[in-house]
Amino acid sequence: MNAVEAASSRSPAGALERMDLAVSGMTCAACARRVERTLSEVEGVQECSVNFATRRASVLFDARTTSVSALAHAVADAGYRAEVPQASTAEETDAAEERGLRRRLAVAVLLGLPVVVLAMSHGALDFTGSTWVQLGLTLPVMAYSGGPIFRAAWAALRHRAADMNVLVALGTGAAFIYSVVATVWPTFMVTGDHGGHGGHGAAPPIYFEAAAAVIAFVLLGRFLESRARTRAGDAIRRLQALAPSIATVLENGVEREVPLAEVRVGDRVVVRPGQSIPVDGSVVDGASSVDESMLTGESLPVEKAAGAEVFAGTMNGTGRLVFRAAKVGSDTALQQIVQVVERAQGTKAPIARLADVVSGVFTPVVLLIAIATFAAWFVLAPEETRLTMALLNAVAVLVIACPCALGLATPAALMVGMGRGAQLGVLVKSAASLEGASRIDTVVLDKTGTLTQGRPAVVRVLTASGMTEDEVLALAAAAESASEHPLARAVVSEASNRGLKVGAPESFTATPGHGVEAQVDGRRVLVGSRRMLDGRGVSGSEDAERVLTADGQTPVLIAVDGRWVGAIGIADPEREEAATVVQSLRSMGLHVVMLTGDHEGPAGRVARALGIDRVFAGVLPSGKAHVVRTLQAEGRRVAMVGDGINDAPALAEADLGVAMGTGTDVARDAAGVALLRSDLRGLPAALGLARTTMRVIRQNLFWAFLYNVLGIPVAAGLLYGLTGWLLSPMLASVAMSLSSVSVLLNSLRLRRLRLPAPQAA
Amino acid sequence: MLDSIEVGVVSGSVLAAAATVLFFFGPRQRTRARSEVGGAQEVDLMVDGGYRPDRIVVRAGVPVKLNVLRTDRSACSEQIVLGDLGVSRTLPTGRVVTIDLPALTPGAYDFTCGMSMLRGRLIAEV
Repeated sequence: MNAVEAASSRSPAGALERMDLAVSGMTCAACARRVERTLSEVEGVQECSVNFATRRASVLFDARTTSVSALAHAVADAGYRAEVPQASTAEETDAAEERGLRRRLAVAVLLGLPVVVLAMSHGALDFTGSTWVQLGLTLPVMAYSGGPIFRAAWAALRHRAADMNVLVALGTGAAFIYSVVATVWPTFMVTGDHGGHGGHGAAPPIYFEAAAAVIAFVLLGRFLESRARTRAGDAIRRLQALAPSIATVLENGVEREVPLAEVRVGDRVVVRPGQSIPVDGSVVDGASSVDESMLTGESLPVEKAAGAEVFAGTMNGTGRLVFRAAKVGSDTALQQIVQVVERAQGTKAPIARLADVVSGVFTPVVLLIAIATFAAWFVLAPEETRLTMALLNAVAVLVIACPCALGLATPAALMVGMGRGAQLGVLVKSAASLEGASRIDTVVLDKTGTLTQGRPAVVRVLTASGMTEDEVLALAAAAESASEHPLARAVVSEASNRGLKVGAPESFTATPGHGVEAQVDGRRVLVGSRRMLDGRGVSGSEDAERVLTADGQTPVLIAVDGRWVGAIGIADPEREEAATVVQSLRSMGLHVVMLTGDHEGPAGRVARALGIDRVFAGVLPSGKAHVVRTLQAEGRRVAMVGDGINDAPALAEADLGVAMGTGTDVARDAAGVALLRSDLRGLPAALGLARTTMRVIRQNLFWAFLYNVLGIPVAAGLLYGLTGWLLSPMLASVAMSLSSVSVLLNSLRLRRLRLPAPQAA
Repeated sequence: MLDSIEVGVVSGSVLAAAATVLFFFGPRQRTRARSEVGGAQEVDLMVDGGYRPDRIVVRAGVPVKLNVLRTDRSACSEQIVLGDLGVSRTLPTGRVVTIDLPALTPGAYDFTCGMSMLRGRLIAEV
C-alpha cells in the first residue's frame, strides 16, 4: 500500500475520500486562505479546510472526479507544495515509531556491548587505542540511538519543563562528555585521578560503557513500555473504531454515500447486512437482528423491526434496515460512552493526589539531589578518586530517578480498568467514583425494577373444579384483550406465552378500579376485583383470594355466567439472577439492604427468599434518600442502586450511585457508575472492578514510591559509609527501566477481569 | 579544610542549584487569549515537550476555545488534563484538538499532562 492509499479514509463502496495533505510554503494566514480557495475550486472537491498552525489541508473529494495528484498540482500552481504526509494514520505512525525504536535499540546493543565488555575486562582485553575504539563505538549510540532522548530533553528545557528525558540526557551526557575529554586530552584530567573500575595505567578512567548501556536500557524500557501502553488503551480505541466513516443516506429513493459527519438528524439511513450502524436512530423499514454486545455487553443479538432503536457502532445481522437518524456526531450513545470513559480516565483519583504533587516537582528536585551528590562526593572522597566518584554517583542519581513509574501508577490502572469496564457494560464516571466504589460496605437495592423485573406477570392460576388453568386464562385473556391495564396485559401476555387461542370479545365494558365485563363466545365473563364480583352477586372466591394475597400477589378473579371459575395471582417476579447476585454481594462482605414501597409481609418474604440482610418496607419514593442517610448515620458507606432517574436524589445522597439498565442513555448524571445492561450481575462486577483497580493502583503507587525513595539514596551513595554499596549507572538504568514497565504490566492484569457467565435468554 | 578546587566545586554546585530552582520555578511569561470570535476567546496551545504558552491569561466570564496541537510523540504529553475543570483529552500527534471551556470564574486553573509532569496554567482575570 502506498502512502496515498494509506492516508485516505477508507470507504468500502463509495467514492468520497477525506485526505489530509501537508502543505509547505505558507507564511501567513492569508496563504492558508489562498490554498483553501485553490483546493475548493478543484472539480470534485466537496469540502476543504486549511489549518495554518498545523500546515495541514483537510480535503473531502470525490475520487471519481479528481485525485490526490490533481490536488497537489493545483496547490503547486498556486505557489505552494502539498504532499501526502507519510504514515498519517495513528496506527501507521505508531508502527513506524516502533520500528525506529527497535532500530535504535539494536544499534545501542550491538555497539554498546563491545564497549561494556572492554570496560568490564579491567584491562584484560586492553590494547593500544582501546579508549578511542570505545569513543568511536559510543558516539553513534549517543547520536543515533539516544538522539530522540536528547531532542525531547531539549524541547522540555526550552519550556522550562523537566521530564524523564532531561534526567537521562543529563546523566548520559555528563558521563559521555567527561569520557571524551579524558580520551582526547588525558592530561586535562589532572593529578593521576584514576580510581574507579574503568581506570588503568596512568590514563584517567573513562565511562563510555555507562553512557552506552544507559541509553540501551532506557530504550529497551521504552520499547516494552510502548507495547504495554498500546495495550492499555486498546479498549477505548476499539470502541471508537466501531462506527463506520461513511454512511448511506436515502434521499428521494436514491441511496447516496456521505461522510459520517454529514449525516443529519432526520436523515433516512440505510444499513446493509453485515454493516455497522453509523448513527443512532429508530427503524422505519426492514427487519434484522443486531449485535449490540460491543455497546452493552449483551451477548445475544437483538431483533430490530420498525419502531426499534438502533445504535451507532452496533453490527447489523442479515437483514437490511432503514432508519431515521435521531442522534448524530458526538450525541450518539457510542460517542457518549467513549466520552464518559475518556473523561473518567483523565480524572484524578484522590489516592493519587500525593503522587501528582510529587510528579510536578520531581525532576527539578532530582537535579538538586544530583548536584548535592556531586558536591558531597567531591569534597568527601579521596582526592585521587573524587572526580570519578562524584560524577558516577551523580549520574546514577539522574538515571535511577523515575518520575514515569510514579506518573503512570494511577492513570495506567485507570485506563485499563475503566476500559475493561466499558467493554463489560460497566461505565465508571470518574476516578473518585471508582475509589468510592471500592470502599462500599452496604448495598441498597430497590425492590421494584431492581430485584424484580419491574413489570407484573402471572405467577399462579387457581381454578374452581371443572376448569383447567388454560381455560381460565384463555377466557380472562379474551375478556381483557382490549384493556390497557397493566394487570390485563400481564394476563394476555401469559396466555400468549402458553400458546393459548384467545378469542375476541363480542362486547366489552371496563369499570375503572373494578375490572372488565365482556361477552366471549356467548358467555358473560367477569374479570376483576372482589368488589366487582360482589357487586354482581358472585361468591366462592374467598379462599383462593386469601391464598394469593398471603403470598404477596394481586388476585384477579374470574367468573363465567355468574359462577366463580378461577383466580389469577399477579406479582412482579424477581429477576432470575437476583438470588445469585445477592449471594455474591454477601460473599464480598457487603451488607445487602432492600428498599420497597410494599408492606412488610410480602417484602419480608422476598428478602428471605433472596437472602437479604435488612428490609426497609413501606418507603415512599421520596423517602429513599432518607433511608440512605439513615444507613450513613450508622457509619455505613452506602451504594444505592436504582434506575438513575426516579431515584436520582437517593443516588446522589449515597456514597456511590449505581444506575442500572441505563441502556445507551449513559449521560445520566446522578450515578457514579452506570450499568448499561439491565442485568443485576453488573453490580458485583462493577464493585469487583473497582476493588481490583484500586488494589492495582495502591500496589503501583507503593512500588513507584518505594523504588524512588530507596533507589535515589542508594544511587547517591548514602549507604557507602555503612555497607560500601555504590550503584553503577548501568544498574541504575536497568532498575529505572524495569520500574515503569512493572507498573504497566501490573495494570494490564486488569484486562483479564471477567463478568459472571452471560445469562441465557 | 577544603582545597581551592573543592571550594570551587561547592560554590559552583550552590550556584547550579540556585539556577535550577530559578529555571524551573521562576516567574514565567504570560500570554493573553485572542479576542473573542463569535463569543468565545481563542487560545492556540502547542505541545512539544512542554506547553507553549504555559501561562495563559483569559477573560473571566467568557467561554474559552483552546486549540491544542501536539507535535511531539512523547508518551508523556499524549493527554492534557484540566483537573479543576474536570476536562481531559487525548492529543493525537499533529492534529488540532479543540477544547471548549465554559466561562470561567476569576482564578487560576492548572493544566497538566496525564502524569502531571508537564504543567501550565490558565489564569482567568476580570
